[in-house]
Amino acid sequence: MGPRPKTIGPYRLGPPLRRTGWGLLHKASDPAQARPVVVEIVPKEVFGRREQAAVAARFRPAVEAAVRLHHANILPLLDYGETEDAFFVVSEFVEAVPLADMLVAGGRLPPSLGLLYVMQVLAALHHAHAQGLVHGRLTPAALMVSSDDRVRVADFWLERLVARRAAESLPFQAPEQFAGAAPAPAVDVFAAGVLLYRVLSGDLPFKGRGGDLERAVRAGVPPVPSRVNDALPPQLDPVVMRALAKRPEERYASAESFRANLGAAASGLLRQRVSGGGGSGLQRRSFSPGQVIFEEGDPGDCAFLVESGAVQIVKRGRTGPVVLATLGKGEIFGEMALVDDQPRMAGALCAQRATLAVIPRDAFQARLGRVDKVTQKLLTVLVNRVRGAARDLADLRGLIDR
Amino acid sequence: MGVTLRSVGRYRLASLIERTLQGELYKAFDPAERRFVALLLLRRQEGAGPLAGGRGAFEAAAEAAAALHHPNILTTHGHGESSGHLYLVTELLEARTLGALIDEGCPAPKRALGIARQILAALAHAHAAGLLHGGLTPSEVLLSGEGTVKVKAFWGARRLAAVAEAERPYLAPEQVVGGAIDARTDVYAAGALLYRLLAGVAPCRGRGPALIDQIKRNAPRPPSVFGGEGVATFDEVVLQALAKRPQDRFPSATAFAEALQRASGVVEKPVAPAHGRSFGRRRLAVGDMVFREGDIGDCAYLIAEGSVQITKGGGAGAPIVLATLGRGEIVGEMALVDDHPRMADAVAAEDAELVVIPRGEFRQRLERMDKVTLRLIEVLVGRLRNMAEEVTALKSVVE
Repeated sequence: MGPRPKTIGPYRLGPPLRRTGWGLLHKASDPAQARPVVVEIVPKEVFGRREQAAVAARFRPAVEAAVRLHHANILPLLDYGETEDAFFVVSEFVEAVPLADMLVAGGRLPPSLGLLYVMQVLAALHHAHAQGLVHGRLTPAALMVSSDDRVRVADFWLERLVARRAAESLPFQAPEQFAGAAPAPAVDVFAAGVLLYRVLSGDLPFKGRGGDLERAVRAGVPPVPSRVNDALPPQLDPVVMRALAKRPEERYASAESFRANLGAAASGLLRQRVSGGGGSGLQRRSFSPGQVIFEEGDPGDCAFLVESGAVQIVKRGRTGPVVLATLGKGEIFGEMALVDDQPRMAGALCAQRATLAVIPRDAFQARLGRVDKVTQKLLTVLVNRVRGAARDLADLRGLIDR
Repeated sequence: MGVTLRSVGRYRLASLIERTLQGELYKAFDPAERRFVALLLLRRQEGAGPLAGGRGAFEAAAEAAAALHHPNILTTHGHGESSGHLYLVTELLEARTLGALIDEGCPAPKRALGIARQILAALAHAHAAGLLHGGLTPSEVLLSGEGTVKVKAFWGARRLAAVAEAERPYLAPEQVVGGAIDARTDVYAAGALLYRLLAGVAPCRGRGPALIDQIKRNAPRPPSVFGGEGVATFDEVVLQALAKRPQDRFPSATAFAEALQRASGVVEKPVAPAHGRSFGRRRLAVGDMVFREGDIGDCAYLIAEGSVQITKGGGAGAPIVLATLGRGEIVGEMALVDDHPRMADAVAAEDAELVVIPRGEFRQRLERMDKVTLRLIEVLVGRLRNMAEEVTALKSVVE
């Protein structure tokens, strides 16, 4: 007999999806509608004792304002509530990943894809601003991207509920927010500018911690995106930089005007999008010669793509290590870890200073989901076939050896 | 490996899959057919495995089961005896049991219903052929990696002692008192499985005599008492399946399935939605060939409706059915990877509609993925091609 399922309010909680700045996201089911939902639970203990009463008073108006938003690019809020020790906010369940997960350190999106995402964010902001609501905390963690490349902006309620900010959101904060100004649409325009800079260039415009970051945001001038990523057309630079103006009145007057200017400057790129882009938002790692990438027998949960340098695949032999292959730019190794949880069949050693893109198993599986249903099904069958064939081979070798 | 590898009959034991109350389940290689199979080696005992009727009953049941061909029934290939052990040979499936799914927590009601629908389809088919399952429990139901349900051995009446304690809550009242069983006994067990999926607990709980007493007397509470969302819709139907007296239950698995369908009010969605440029389709009447062994293939098929049998050796004798595939499953997918001839015959087991996926079209759809993913798929497909060739070569060496 298993334990009784956990519930909050009328919702039955499924497994936790991930941690947020303030609490935990759970997949859950809605008793009334028999549909899956997502419940974000914010434990009251994250607030100080004295703060709790003030937060409780703000909770209802903050969420109610966000519930009123209905837009294709805004994650619909369905319900909210409060228990003795937590607040919770219920939104529609969408098969999607936060943009933050697609932008692991140093990764950038294909420009056309990044533009497509930011255009949708601006459409969402335009809608919210027209309803008198400012987001105030736009970050890649608040943007949910589904497999059809649709973006849904989440967390429109957060700014009015909690005063403290997660460290990850600070680089997206406008200069006037550091000075304590009340959030206005110009704050969202600035944050969308930072986001655009980030997805196009692969780097944040303003970096550092604490006072350093604040100084950079309030006074620093970042290099234009095309200087950070030379694959970018320079005509995008002025569009991005205007959104990042220090004085709110020097930025676009509205999210809509930002969107129109961006659309005009990027029309060529957006059209290219159909064929799909190259870059990939993958994490990269560098190795020096002689460094071990993984050992034979290690558990594996990722594959590697050689972007530069060379890698040797080495297997232990009776008399010593045997080099099975030397791989160079564009080649892939460790790929069985994407379909199987067997230990590494051979080791990998850096032969020449190398940069490797790391492809985690779950990221690969998520990417397989980005095609139509029939193709997806075929890929699942083929991946299962690979797994089955690997096991059959091991068993046949065992039968022959004995 | 810790396991002493050996042979059973003509089968070479490759690896132990699991040990159960009934015996040991192995992945085994059949040199005659050059394929891997699952081999259940029964414990030696005076009875014959789980069956009440002894060895003759086992052989009769295995032969009858081998004649069952349905997408939701695990195919039985054969049986035999080796050094005093009886054994059963079935298709090998990369699958986990319903028990493993349950251990992870309740699936959504929609998924639970999908599983129940497939279990009931299997029962209806077997009952029409005059076979009873008689021991439907979470370990008797397999879920393939792609979500298809396959019900294991239709062996009819079993000895209570051969049912593991953890699986007894799924036994019907008439079984625990040693009474006669019929199709309604399987209806009860299917109801108990659905109850477990919806509620998170079995309808009757406890151990030993207390459990037996509950099964005989206590009416279960509605599943929604435990489950909650969306479950209440099915309370009435599930409780009817779990009626203590067989005459108060649904008279057949089909009647149970229809009642569930009505309660859910959901119309089944087509398998392949019209999505962008749609694939071509092929309609087949029962008995029509999808392809023949040795044909050069350049496409795979997705079964939109009906079912397809994969068979071998259709020449003089009766062909051997390797597998039966149903709605939502894929046939002939290796043609997307290589241009080797088809390895077996595929024939429509009932009127069927197939979505045709040509290799070129599949490749084009993949092109829409980002470059890294596409490259990975190419590497994996290359791997699959090499491994498939090596598997074929090694199979001819193992005799």
